Amino acid sequence: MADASTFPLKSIFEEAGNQVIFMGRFFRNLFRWNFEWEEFIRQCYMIGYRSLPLVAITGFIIGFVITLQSEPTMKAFGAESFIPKMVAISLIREICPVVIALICAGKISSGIGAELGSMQVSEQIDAMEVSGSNPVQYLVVTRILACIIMVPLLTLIADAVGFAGSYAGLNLSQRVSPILFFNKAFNSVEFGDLLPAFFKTIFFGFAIGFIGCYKGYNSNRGTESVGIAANSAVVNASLWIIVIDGIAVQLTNALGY
Amino acid sequence: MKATTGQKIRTGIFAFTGIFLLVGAVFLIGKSKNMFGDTFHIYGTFRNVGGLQVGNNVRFVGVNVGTVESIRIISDTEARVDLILEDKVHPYIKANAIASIGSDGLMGDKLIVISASEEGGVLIKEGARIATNNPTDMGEIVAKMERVADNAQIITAGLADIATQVSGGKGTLGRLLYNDDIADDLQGTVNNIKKGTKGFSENMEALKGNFLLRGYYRRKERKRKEREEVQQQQEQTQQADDDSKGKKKHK
Repeated sequence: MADASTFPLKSIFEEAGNQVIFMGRFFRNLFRWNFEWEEFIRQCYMIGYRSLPLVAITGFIIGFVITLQSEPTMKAFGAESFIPKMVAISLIREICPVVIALICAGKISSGIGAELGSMQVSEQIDAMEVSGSNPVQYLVVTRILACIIMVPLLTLIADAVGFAGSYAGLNLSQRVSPILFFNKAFNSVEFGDLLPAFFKTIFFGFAIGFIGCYKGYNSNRGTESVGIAANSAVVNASLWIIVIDGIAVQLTNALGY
Repeated sequence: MKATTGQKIRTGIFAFTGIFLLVGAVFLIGKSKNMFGDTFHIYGTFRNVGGLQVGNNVRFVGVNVGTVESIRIISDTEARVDLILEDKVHPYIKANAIASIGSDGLMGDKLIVISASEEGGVLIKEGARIATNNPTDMGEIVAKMERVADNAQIITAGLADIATQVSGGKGTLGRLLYNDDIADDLQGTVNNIKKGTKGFSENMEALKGNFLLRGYYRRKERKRKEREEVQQQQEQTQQADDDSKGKKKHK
């Protein structure tokens, strides 16, 4: 403890090294034969399906609010017809991926951290190791993979629901046919908007799953460590999401998208 | 822990929904960029593309029929713009059509507008070059406006000079407007003319009574009366003829 406070840089590097080792264990176990399909599907259900209401409501309200907030300004410029275009691009490129990832960090990453933390406290993970089963493959690989697949799908659903929210917001003040709205929205979106955002969410999903698993799997044996694991999982996953987003923006700009 | 059948079904539906949305979005974006369906290509060269970008719309008779596929500089004065158009509009685009660069509203994106030059003509071929109408360069407009402003400055300076001279009573117009002597002279002239004409009419009356010219005026008067009598007789004859014709019709 004294070492950590005296040499904070050392503890930071130690933490980074532990994370790299843990990531290595994940990738090693990812390509093992006896993959835990049942657990993977159960985690997909828990992570993806169970987050759907939260994500859908968030997406709808984001679309609704952005439209209502931008409408007076656009009206002042006589550019109301650009609202679907603006909302579509901002939702697909940035707002939905980041907001949904942060919400998933709060819901999923903390859940995984708390679950694995409590398993560590109650020595279930040790018991699995002793009994010969592979806890990393069973607990970590399935959760991270489920996050990698489910977070992008949740973001896509949030995009779609966000469009519906934007359409509802626009129709509060004027009559716009759904065909016109979605035509305008999709005519302005390009692959350069959709695909980088989609690939970005895959990395967000990895960060959410990986940080949750790492913090839970490596938590201490004390009872309070479950809460600490859940809390630090949310904080670190959120930070990772923002950092990945910054890198992704630079990359997509450099690639000309 | 094993996943239940219900969990598996719900997860499957969820996954399919997400994948369907992704495929749908890819399809819709691809469709708007003419990636699916039959297309044909044409190109045009412009001296100035005015900020046109790859992916901008191509419009024919006001309908979006394609997109800009690529833009590349081919010489120090020209850029080649390749267009990809829907095959269904191929029968309507003739070889003599003209492409120009327009704008979608005041704040909108740039776009290519293809306009038919006239009826008839052969259809444009795949990969053919289309005639182009180069957009007016804002620099040229500004230069012209500068010349107009210079000329206007010279004209207004001249006008101001004239106005100053006129208001100072200089020149013909200035003297006419501001010099009272001319008005007085004109008034005196008019008075003299009035006096002259009055004297002239009195002289004429006196001449009529003079024995040398009296005969001339009497002959003139007689001739006038004769003309009046002949005119009256003709009118009476005409009246009688009209009456007789009217009676015959009644019978």
